[in-house]
Amino acid sequence: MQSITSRRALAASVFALGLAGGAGAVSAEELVFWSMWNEPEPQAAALRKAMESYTAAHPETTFKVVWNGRQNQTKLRAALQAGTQVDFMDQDADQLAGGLQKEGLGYDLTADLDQATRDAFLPGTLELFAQDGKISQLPYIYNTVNFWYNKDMLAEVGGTVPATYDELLALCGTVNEAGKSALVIESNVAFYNGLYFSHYLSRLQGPGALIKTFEDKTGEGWKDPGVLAAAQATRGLWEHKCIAPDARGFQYPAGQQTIALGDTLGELVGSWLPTELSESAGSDFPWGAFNFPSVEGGVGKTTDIEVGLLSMMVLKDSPNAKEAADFLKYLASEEAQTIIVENSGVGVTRKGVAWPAALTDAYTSAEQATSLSPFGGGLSVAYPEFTSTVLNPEYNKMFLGTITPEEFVEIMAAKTKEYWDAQK
Amino acid sequence: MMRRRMICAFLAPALLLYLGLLILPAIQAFYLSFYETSGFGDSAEWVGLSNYARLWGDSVFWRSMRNMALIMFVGGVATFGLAFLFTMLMNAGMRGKKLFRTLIFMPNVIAVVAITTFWSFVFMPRYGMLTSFLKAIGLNELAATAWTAPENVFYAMMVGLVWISVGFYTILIMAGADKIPAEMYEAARLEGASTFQIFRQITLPMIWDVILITLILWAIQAVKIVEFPYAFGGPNIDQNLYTPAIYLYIMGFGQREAVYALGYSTAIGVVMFILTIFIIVLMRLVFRRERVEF
Repeated sequence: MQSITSRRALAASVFALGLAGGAGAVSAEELVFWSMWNEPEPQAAALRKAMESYTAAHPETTFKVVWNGRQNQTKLRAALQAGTQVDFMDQDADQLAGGLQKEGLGYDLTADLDQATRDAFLPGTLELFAQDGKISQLPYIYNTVNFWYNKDMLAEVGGTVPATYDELLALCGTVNEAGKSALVIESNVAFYNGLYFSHYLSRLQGPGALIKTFEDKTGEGWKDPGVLAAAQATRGLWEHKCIAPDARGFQYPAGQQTIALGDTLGELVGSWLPTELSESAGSDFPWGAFNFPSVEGGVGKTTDIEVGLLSMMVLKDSPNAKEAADFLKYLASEEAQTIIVENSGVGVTRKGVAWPAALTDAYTSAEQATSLSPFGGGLSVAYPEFTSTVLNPEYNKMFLGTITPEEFVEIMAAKTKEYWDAQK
Repeated sequence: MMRRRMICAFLAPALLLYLGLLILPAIQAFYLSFYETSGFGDSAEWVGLSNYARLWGDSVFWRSMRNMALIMFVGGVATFGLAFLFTMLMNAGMRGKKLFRTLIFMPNVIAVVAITTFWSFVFMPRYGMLTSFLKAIGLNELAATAWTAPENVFYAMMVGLVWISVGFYTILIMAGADKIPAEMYEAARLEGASTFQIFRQITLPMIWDVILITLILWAIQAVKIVEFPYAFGGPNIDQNLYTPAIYLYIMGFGQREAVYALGYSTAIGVVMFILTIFIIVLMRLVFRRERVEF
């Protein structure tokens, strides 16, 4: 009954999607791919080339692609309810983990990936979203989170890459003396700003600290002195003038543009930044990246990184699951990964495939990674609703100075307890 | 009899589409709001009124309702205040009336995303138009204000929203005012009435039905508004800009975080629907006047 209910509820949007997506009959050799890219984007062109290359080697297999854009998974939800055949799709790995994968709708790729294929992945990428050893998604594009900065400016002000948080604060002073700002933020992108908190806590207490804090169902985990220290330290970036006061009003992408304009040294963000700023900063911009530094008394390593992977997933109910899995295996090959790098200028998940020049430091960061976490220390995957409606907005308030770190900790403790009480 | 059958036959396709694509999904939405479901699998759990109980205690939902109320009342006063002012000025025989009417309506023919991009640039700190203007006239302290910081961003958005809305409502009100016989204005002027007196004593009472319709349209827009604040706030929109419709979207359609609470999000939609009906009925009762024939 519930099944019928859901199907009817989504009927209107399915009707529209059916028209757009061509929900008609599909031949056995034609794999239907729903993509998170828009057709004019370079990533779409790269995937198109990879598919052509695969078809050249396997003439019996062709592809029918629906370029849905970033709302791919949401659109797919309606299509699946209507019984539309989709063989495989792609999306941000953390979103997939909280969506299709969580619902058990991903095909188990474990048996289709031989050891050599698995070993070719950069450390931790294939395992990051595996559950009980079962691999449901295949990451193919790799974004690392680092401080992205202007190498020339760092040299001009006489600064060096900071190894510790105190050195980062000292660097802020050095940059300020040159009349610039060390860091910039986007005030409306709470999950970017939350990266400071999750990184600091991870450096202090080790990877997974944020999840551990939240999973204390009494809420008392937030009252750990380390959590308050992390909140105070990140808020301290404003007090140390690392970030210019007017950055409180920068709305994406205004903040990052100040790096291209030469007003700011850098930003803590994903390795997509050089691509996003390629037009305004120019292709010869001297990009550098360094990992979040260590913190005093911390147990986390500077090589523990947060990543944003983009993954392919074969749908469990696809009649062509084996064929689609074979294409995914091809997508992990050196040939396909090179096509993606050359045509879309992004980092990829295979070892040894050189990333574009602007992302050289990010590749090093990925290659040397000792631990991977999704954005925000992984809390957004495990508890997306809490992250979206409570943690990110409340942290952003604290980070932007609307509430104090002490108030932030109190609010989080209360809201966490409230959340877990409601689950009983 | 034949004529009646013809009418039914011609209306049937439209009615079927209306029934199938609007009425049935709306009824279905009521039903879905009693379930907890992500919308992905076949499993939906009956939770009765739990989604509504949760809404009652959801501070984010109430914040979005507060923003909706601010748009309805503060934005409404600003929009209709300006629309009445423009109507009054244009009826007072201002020169270039048609040009002015075209200019104030112009924002409505431009895509919302383009308009919000413009307003974001106006309010952008450091390089924005407003900051540059304030610096140019020596108001450096005011120029340092971060207009899109959390404490100001809602009202910055509201300025843009009022700007885009004034033209639309002025045109509607003007369309009603243009039907008032010119002799009435002439007679009033001969009696020595001021522009404001003419507007209050003649224009307003004679177009009251138009005013009521525009007020209802504004109220409906305020309840369901999503595109302007969402485009202004960007894809990672600040909760300070949430409206109920935006919150519905965030909770049901998986944005940056994979939140797919479809039942809960549908409950928000149902509340919005009931609220809209309630507001319309209330406004019709409160603003009921005897129709003026002319």
